[in-house]
Amino acid sequence: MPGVSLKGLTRRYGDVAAVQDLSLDVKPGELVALLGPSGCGKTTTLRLIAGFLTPEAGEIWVGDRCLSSPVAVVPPERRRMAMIFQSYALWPHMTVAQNVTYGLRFKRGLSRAERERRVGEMLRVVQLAGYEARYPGELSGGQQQRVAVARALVVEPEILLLDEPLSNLDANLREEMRFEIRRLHEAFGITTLYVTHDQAEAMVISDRIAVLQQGRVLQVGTADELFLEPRTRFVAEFIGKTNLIDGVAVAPDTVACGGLRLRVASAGLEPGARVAVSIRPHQIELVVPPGQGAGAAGTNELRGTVQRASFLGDSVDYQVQVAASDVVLRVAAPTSRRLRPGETVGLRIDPAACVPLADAAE
Amino acid sequence: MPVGYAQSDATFRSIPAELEDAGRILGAGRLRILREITAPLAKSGIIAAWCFIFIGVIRELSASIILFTPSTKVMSVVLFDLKEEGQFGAIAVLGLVMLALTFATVTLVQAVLGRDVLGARE
Repeated sequence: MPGVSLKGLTRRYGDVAAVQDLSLDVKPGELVALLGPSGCGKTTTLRLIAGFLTPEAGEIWVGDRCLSSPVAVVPPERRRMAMIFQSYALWPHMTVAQNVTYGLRFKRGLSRAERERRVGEMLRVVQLAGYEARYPGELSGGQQQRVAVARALVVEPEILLLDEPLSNLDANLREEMRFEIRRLHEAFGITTLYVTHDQAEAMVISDRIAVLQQGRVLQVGTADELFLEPRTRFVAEFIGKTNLIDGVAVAPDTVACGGLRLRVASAGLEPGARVAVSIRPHQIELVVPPGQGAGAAGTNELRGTVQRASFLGDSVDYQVQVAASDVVLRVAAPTSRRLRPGETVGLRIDPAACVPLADAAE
Repeated sequence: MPVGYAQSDATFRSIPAELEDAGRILGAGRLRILREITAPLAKSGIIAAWCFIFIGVIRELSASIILFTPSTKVMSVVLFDLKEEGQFGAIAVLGLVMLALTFATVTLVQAVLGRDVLGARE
């Protein structure tokens, strides 16, 4: 089972670089999600890996085979990959069994009986046994998707590519299929690249996530790492909700914004530099009445006034105006204690939760 | 020619490229894709275009009347000749034959196509 290595890939459409100097290593058997908004180059990257596009610069390696470079591209049919498309791309003129068998016909040394056995087994895995003679047009969206999954997995590819495979399903089914895809990945252990614009989907399905923006990889990491230690403003905002505070470093570990002083999770800031700080709403503790109890030494203790409280069922979303500054923080607090707009509260924030970001606002 | 080309072109364009890509990535070469995926999907559109042209061509006179030779007379030209000779009985018969031929062809195509489309879509 080989891994995939992308080295400095670049691909332009006209003057616009869809993918720019993109590098990424996917370990053998790993599932990596390419996450980003539409137009960030994630689908182009996938099509480059599949061999449908030729890179203008850079190389794609699978194991010790160089599959793509600007001078030579191995055609898709000889890459030993499989792909699942957003539209499923099932052939409407073939039955389910014919669709799933198709890729097996190009494998040498498989008897007809063996092919039929494998197709039958795969259809059982995706819970479509008994649907062999149906046409894709006779199936529901979820069933069509499972046919697409079966068609891709039955050929036992070295690499599996998925292009937003769940975006055409309704919300309930989508959630179910997330776990289904994760389960199949654990069962087969195929090195997988998964393109999506849905951060929750990426977090559930993947081992690691690569966040893309404008054709570049901004940050690669597990869901935890990206959530708790975003390196850039874009990553902080794209993965979950966050508070962003623009300020100036006044000490290696302190950022000032108006009258507000925040100790942050870094000791390497250059005084005078502009810094943005990301604080997750659920990592801010509300202290009522303000000043009660005491946090650990070095904890940020702030005061503020509740501006708005929105009950969300499993938590309450507060907007708190921080005293002596124009900063408004969003705080996700448990529902056990309800505060009203106008109340004064204390805010306690662990410096470890205040993540300085590499790219401050211009 | 232009009509046939435009219609066939539209047919091929209406086939999503992903259907061909899906075949490529699973191991099929370009020619095989053309034969096993593109052609079957384009079939009904191409036959419909052919049918459309056939109806136009069988009753076409203006070009044939200039291009015909005594050994390659087409029906419309024969009809014109008969009219010059005033043989209206023969014209009526030949006209009916032409009508029957057109109807038979269209009905046949419809029957074949209808089954095909039903088989693929239902």
